[in-house]
Amino acid sequence: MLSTLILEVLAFLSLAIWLALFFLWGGFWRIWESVADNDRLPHPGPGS
Amino acid sequence: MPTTIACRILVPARNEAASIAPAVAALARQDYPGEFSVIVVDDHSEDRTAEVARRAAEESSAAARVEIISAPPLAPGWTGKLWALQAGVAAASGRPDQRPARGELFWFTDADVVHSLTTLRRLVSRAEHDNLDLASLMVLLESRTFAERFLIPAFLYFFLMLYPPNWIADSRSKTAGAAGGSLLLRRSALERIGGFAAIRSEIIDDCSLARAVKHSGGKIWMRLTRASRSLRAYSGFAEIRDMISRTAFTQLRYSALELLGTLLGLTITFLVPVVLTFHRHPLVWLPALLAWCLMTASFLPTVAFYRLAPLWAPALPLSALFYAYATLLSAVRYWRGRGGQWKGRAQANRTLNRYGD
Repeated sequence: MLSTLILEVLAFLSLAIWLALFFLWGGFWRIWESVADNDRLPHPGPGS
Repeated sequence: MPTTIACRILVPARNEAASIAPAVAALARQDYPGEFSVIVVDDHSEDRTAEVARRAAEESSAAARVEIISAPPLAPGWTGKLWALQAGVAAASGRPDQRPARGELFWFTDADVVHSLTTLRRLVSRAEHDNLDLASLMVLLESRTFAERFLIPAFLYFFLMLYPPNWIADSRSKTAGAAGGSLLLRRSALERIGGFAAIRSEIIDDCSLARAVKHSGGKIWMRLTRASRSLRAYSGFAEIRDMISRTAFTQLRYSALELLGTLLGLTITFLVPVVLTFHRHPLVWLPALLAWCLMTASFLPTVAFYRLAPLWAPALPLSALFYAYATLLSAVRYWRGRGGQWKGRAQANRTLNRYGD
């Protein structure tokens, strides 16, 4: 009984961690937002 | 375009004869519209790095842009790569009154990275547009062998978890990171932090540089690219393990307590969900399965970035287990006096065969 309770706590703790990582951790996993290859920027030069 | 900001490209190189030719050729042929030059700093290579680099420059028909210099003997207290970069900056520095009116940029890049011909132009555009002091790109790492496919996407994933790009760019956040394979830096920012001397002994030099620039009030930025790629290949698990263990314990500031916390955190975060998913009690397996699903969903974009099959994503816990092992090994090697090893030689003695990533 005690061991099941500990496992329940561990399972919910890992779920809480993943909810925080997924929704609150800077969007680190949404890497399509961090790919620079599609940036549209002006040419460097005078006036840029 | 006389007022376009000038750029000095610095390439520290140690025993890179196998990869430096395409790297130098791509740098010499950048389509950057302003003045730029390439300085390769040969750091006492025991192979033909300098000769290969010189020949690549000549064959690129832009030999006039490329200069090959030798790093002076390593000064005490410096890492080899930072000492080589320091030598490159010194070589690139004329008298202050000879410097370009609009300031100057340094682009530090590795000798085993091949850039697209537009990389410098795009990086400078971004830096100028957003008034950045430091802009870096995480280049595409090799993911051909089984070991690379198993571990390299996870490497990127964990790196972004430690250094989320959105937090790096946020001036209110303390998070500061950069990717040394392609790092653009304003000379004024380097001077403001006190030059490379301020971080001379840092093994994780790119993130230390980013931290110093951000703490000095500078704006920093990091993104990913598929347009520039590293030629460094890892043939097996042992090579990747050594790459990880070279800096893992440094990342934990050589603290046994942080090591314990990291191993515990990796276990609860990545291993517990998998193990408990197969428990019979619904209040155990259900949250565990949900956690594993979130983990898998969060890893899928990285797997897609590397153009691997989605089935690699649920295997992330196995990769995490490997990283936990490599981190523990990093600490054990440090405690045994063999910390910072790379290619069988100790970084603490600054006698690396090549610079690590």
